[in-house]
Amino acid sequence: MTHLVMSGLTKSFGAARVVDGVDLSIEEGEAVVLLGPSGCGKTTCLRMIAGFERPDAGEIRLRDEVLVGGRTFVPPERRRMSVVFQSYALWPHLSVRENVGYGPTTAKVGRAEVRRRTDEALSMVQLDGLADRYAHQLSGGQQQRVALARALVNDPALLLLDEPLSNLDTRLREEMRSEVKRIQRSLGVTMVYVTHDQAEALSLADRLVVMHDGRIVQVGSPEDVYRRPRTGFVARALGATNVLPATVRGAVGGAVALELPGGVPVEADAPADGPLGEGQAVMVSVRPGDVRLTPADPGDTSGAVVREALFFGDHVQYSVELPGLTEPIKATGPSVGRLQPGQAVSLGVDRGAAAVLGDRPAAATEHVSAVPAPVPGRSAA
Amino acid sequence: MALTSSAAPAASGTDAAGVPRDTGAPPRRRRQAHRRGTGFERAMRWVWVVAIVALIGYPVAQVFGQSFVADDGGFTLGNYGLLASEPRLVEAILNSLWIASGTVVGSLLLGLPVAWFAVRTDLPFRRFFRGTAVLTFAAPSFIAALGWILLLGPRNGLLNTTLMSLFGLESAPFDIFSPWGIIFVLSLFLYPLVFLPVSAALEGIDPALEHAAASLGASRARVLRTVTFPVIAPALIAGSILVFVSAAVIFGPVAILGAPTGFQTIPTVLLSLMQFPPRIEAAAVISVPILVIIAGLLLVQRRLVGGKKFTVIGGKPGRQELTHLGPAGRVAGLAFCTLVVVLSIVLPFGILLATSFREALGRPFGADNFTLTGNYEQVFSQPLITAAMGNSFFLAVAATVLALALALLASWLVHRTRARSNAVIAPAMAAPLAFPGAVLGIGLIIAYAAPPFGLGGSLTILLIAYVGSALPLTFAYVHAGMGQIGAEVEEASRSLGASWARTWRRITVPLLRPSLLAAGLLNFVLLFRELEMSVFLYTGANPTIATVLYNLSNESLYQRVGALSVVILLINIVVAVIAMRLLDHRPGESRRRRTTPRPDAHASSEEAA
Repeated sequence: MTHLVMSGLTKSFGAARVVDGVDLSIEEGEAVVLLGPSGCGKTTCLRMIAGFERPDAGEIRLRDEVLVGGRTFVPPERRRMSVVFQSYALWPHLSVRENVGYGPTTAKVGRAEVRRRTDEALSMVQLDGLADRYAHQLSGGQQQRVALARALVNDPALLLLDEPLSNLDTRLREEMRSEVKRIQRSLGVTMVYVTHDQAEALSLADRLVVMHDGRIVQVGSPEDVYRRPRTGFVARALGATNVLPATVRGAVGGAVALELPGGVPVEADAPADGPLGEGQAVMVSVRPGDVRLTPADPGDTSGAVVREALFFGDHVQYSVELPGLTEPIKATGPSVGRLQPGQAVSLGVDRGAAAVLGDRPAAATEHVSAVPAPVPGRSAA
Repeated sequence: MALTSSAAPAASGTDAAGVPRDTGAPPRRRRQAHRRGTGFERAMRWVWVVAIVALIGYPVAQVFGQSFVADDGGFTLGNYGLLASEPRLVEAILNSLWIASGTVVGSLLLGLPVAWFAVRTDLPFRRFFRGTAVLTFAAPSFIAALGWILLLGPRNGLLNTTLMSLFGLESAPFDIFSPWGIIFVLSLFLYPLVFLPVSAALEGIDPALEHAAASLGASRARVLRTVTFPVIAPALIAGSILVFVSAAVIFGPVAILGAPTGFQTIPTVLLSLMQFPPRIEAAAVISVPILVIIAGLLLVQRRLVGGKKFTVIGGKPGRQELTHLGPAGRVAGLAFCTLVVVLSIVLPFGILLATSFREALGRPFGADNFTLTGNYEQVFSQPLITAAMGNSFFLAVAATVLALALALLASWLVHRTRARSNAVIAPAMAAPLAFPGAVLGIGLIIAYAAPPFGLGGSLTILLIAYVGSALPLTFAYVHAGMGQIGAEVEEASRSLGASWARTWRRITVPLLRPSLLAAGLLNFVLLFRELEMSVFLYTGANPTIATVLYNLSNESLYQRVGALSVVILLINIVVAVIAMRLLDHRPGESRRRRTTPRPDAHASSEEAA
């Protein structure tokens, strides 16, 4: 059932339009992650849902109720949306119990009920013993748990999290990541989670929303967005990748045969937005892990040469120079039988691992390299 | 900010109703930066504007305006001709400049050595000396001046008579009723304005800078001159400017010590111009250039303080290397610092205390000239004095509460709303610092004394004056406190179902409590014994405690002066000690640090301190 609907949301701060026409529907019980670099408008979206910012235009609806739109504006305290802030925003003058119990106390549910709900929420985040402490007596991870308990205790219509884990160190962040997932699953609470961290986004999302310059650029399941990014921006937002020029050589069923510079063959899923003509120049995204490097075949004419090989123990990171490209291709390989810098290699890409991007080759070259030379022109010719 | 979910009937989005809605296509028109500017916010902004205009803007504008009003009510520049035709006006200005310059020199002579000893050496009791410097500043300077009359008065001053009998002198060696006497008293009172910023700067110097210079072979003197001094120079100049401005326009000590010889500075000549029949145009003509000069000087001062941030506060407080004083240095240092404390606090207030137990002023101190309660009974048996006590107490409390409310409102606007006009709020709240009490007092008389307001001689006009003058300090504290409370702390409360009002009651105000208490108590102290403006605004109908004391001293009733001073000082000290306690250990400080660390929090609390 559709839970929250945002339509045409727009918000400017001064002359800068931070959110520029965002449309998104969120299903009940769904975990939606807004991913994007800082300044892409994701936090502003979250704050408009919470009611902390009022959109310049557009509408937000929760089920049948208009939260904001036209002349309507429901203030934050009547939206039943709990927010977990990056800074935690715990109240330093209140104990853990008072922090978590604030929502129920405000709702005047009676002292016994406040206590029951508070205890329940604290045990949900495994902080049973710490109810009488103050925020400054807790570690960063514990503070994060208190913030989470405080948000959950109110049985929110929507749980909003704004980069909640970015103040934690790496190990703790991983731990809390699975904790958030576990709690969200077990309560079935609808969640909107804002982050710029790709691992958090991919692992937490039922549906991933990638934002750029105030607009949504792609929505889909984490796998779908990861495997079939529509633009180089989306591909990069989800991890290291190579954005390369390629030429269409033919279509077979749902797949497209492509050729990289130097004649390296690649096969990708056919893009949804229309067939590709033979000889057409396109951009493709290929993840480093999907690039296969082998010592050069005798017949290989691509001219690919290993420039750099960095040893990481369980794998090796390669930079491979391919004539016709200004930037080297990134690739990872097994640490056994590693290739040496200067070695000529043959490139291969796993079947179906490449994604055809919507970027036009000429425009996309800016992403490939800061050097203005329009290299892909050659392969397009 | 609690608003409209009451909703226009067809707000559900698809409504046509003629409201142009720009869903989908990006709207053409450029929206104003913030439509969150709701009815409530706009109303609050207007409340603030009206209050500031009424308290400060309108009275000061009246002073400017009156300087251009001719007898017939038309516009004229002729009033400024008074500066040429009445030599005493120019003389008063020159006297003010002379007193101010002398006080700057005196404050530097006292403040710099004490700062160095207290911050950069291993002098014993250096923390104590620092504390007393702050205390001095909270002490009322005109009461100190009264004490010095009893010590260095040319006829009966205790120190003078003692020196005369010791050395068999014919006449008194010192005369406190002179410009030198005024400079002496003012320097002892104002040196903390140099001491505080300079010691902060000395503390902030990264010792690595000095080590680096020393390791390059620079002598200690050279290090001092080439490294240490340039770093503290901005603080030193900024402090000197504050001393200069304060001394040029201070009323109390100058009036008390200058009266017998007819020595007048700007504020005292202003007071005489306002005596019946008031010569408002002359007062305005002398006020305007002063306001302009002070505004210029304070702008320079702010610049320097602003620049100070990056020269001095370089992040972690550097581990200071304390200069080890030899035995001779220790003796010299202790002697100097002790002398400053004795002169600024012990002697003047001590003699007042002693005098308050004295039966007759004509006879020397002694067991036969002692009365424990006599003078106090006399003081408290006068209905005028008890009424004045009541007035001062009421005014100080009411003005503090109102100023706190305005400061809360202003800092809420600055921290929690977005509007281009927010940029003027902080300067406006600090502006009263630039207006001498005398000028503000005259402005209030012009603005409100006559009909239609008809507030002359009422408590209300004093209340207006007190609230206005209390704004800078209250705002500095509240604003700094508010800066440490992130907006998210309030938003978290809202999102958990608490209304705006409940959020303020349960979250914001409790978190602000230390700032509110400190600002409130300090204000109370300063307003309870306010003289600078009161002396212009009081009449027989609305006496305050300071004006009563001022009149007692004009009548030379020194035992009662002593008794009343002691009472005021006791109230002063008790409240100031409570305030300093609250400031020093700042309950909740360690907790608060965890909320939302803001980069500017440190700087702004620094400024407030």
